[in-house]
Amino acid sequence: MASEKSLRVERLKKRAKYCCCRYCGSELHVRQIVFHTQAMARIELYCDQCQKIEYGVEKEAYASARAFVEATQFNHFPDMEDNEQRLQMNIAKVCNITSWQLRYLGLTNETGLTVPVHINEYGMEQCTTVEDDRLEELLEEADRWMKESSQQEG
Amino acid sequence: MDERIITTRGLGCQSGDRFLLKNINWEIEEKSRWIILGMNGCGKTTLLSMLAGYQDYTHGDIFYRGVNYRQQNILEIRKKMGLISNSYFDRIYHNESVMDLVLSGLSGTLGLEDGSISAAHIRKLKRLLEHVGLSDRLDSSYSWLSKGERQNILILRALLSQPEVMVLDEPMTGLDVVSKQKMMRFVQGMAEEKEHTILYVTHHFEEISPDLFDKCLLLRHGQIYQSGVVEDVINEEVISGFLQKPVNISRKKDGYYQLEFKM
Repeated sequence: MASEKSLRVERLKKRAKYCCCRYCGSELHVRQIVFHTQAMARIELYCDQCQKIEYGVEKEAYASARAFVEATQFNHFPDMEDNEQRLQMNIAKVCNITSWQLRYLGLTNETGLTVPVHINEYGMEQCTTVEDDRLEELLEEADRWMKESSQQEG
Repeated sequence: MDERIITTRGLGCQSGDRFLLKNINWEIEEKSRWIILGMNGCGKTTLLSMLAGYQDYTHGDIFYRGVNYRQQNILEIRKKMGLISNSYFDRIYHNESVMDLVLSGLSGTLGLEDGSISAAHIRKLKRLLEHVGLSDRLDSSYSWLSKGERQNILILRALLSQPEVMVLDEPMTGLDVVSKQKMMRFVQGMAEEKEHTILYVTHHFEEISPDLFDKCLLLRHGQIYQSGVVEDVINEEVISGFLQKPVNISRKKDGYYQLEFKM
C-alpha cells in the first residue's frame, strides 16, 4: 500500500511538470486538498489561477488546442457571452478531444508524450489564412449568390 | 462469513482540545438501512465523511469487511462508499467541471484521474446526465449549478463506481418541493431495492419511515445516544430524552413519522 501511495503522488508530481491547466494553460501544482493521513487520499493537482482541482493536459496539446480555437473561432458554447471564460471553456473542450485522440493513437501515455513533437505554428496559419482583400471579394461573391438564389426561389 | 460491512471501534476525531466525535462503536450489517439522527453540529457529516474515507480520524479504528481502513488503499474504500454530501463537497468543489467531478467518482479521487477518461466511461456519464435532464451541464462548473442539480450530480458521482454503501448526508436540505419529491423517490427506490447498505443522515423526522429503514442511530454532542431497530429508537420516551423536550410522535398516512413538541 505504501508503494501505491507514493506511486500516485510521484505520478502527480511528474504530471505537474509536463502538463498545464486545460482552461488557462497555467502551471499545475500538487496540493493537499483535504486533511487525511494517507497522502494518496489528500493529494490532487490544482490550478492556482482557476482555483480548481485540475488534472491538466500535455503542454503541447494545450498549445495546439489554443491555436485551433483562436484560428477557427471554434465555439462549442453558442449560448455563452463572448468572453475569456468562454474562450477557456472552448480550449478545454478541444484539449479533452485532443488528449483523448493522442492517447488513442498511442502518442501519449501516463508519463506524457511518447514521441518528440515539433509545433508547426506557421504551417497551420498558412493553411487557414485568407488575406483581407480576398476576404472582401469572397463576401461580395456570397452576397451575389444569396441574391440570385432568392430571386430564383421568388 | 462476517455480515458486518463496516465496524467502528472507539472511533473519535479531536480538533485541538475539542472532540468532534468520541468513542463511536457501531456495527453496520450488509444491506442494512440506517437513519442517523442528530441536531446541527453533533458530528453527523464528520462521521459520514470518515466512514466514506474522505476525512481522517484521530482515535479508534474503522473496519471494512473486517479489514482496518489503515491497512487498505483508501481510494478503493471511497469507490465502495457512494458519498452524497452537499455540505462536504461544497467545501471542496467550486470551479471544477461537472464532467471532471462525476468521473472522479470512478477513481475515488477528488479530481479526474487517468483511468477514468475512457470512451465507455464518457458514454456512460452522458447517458446518466441525460437521464437526470442535465445533459447540457457537462461542461458547467459546480458553482453554477442549483442546489438540486448539485445533488443530482453528486448522486451520479456516487453511483458511477457502483458502490456497496450509499452514504446520504441530509440529501433533502435546501431542495425545492419538486427536487425534494424526486430525491424522496430516489431514496425510496434505493431502500426498496435492498441492493445497497444505506446510511441516511437527517434531522427531520418527516423523512423517516420504518418501512424504508431498519435501524436508527441517535448522535448527540459527538457521541452515540442510542442505536437499534427504528421502532425501538423512534418513540416518545427515547426522543423526548434525546431532544430534552417532551414530544408526541405519530405516523402519517404515508407511513412517515411526524413529530410535535408537547406544549
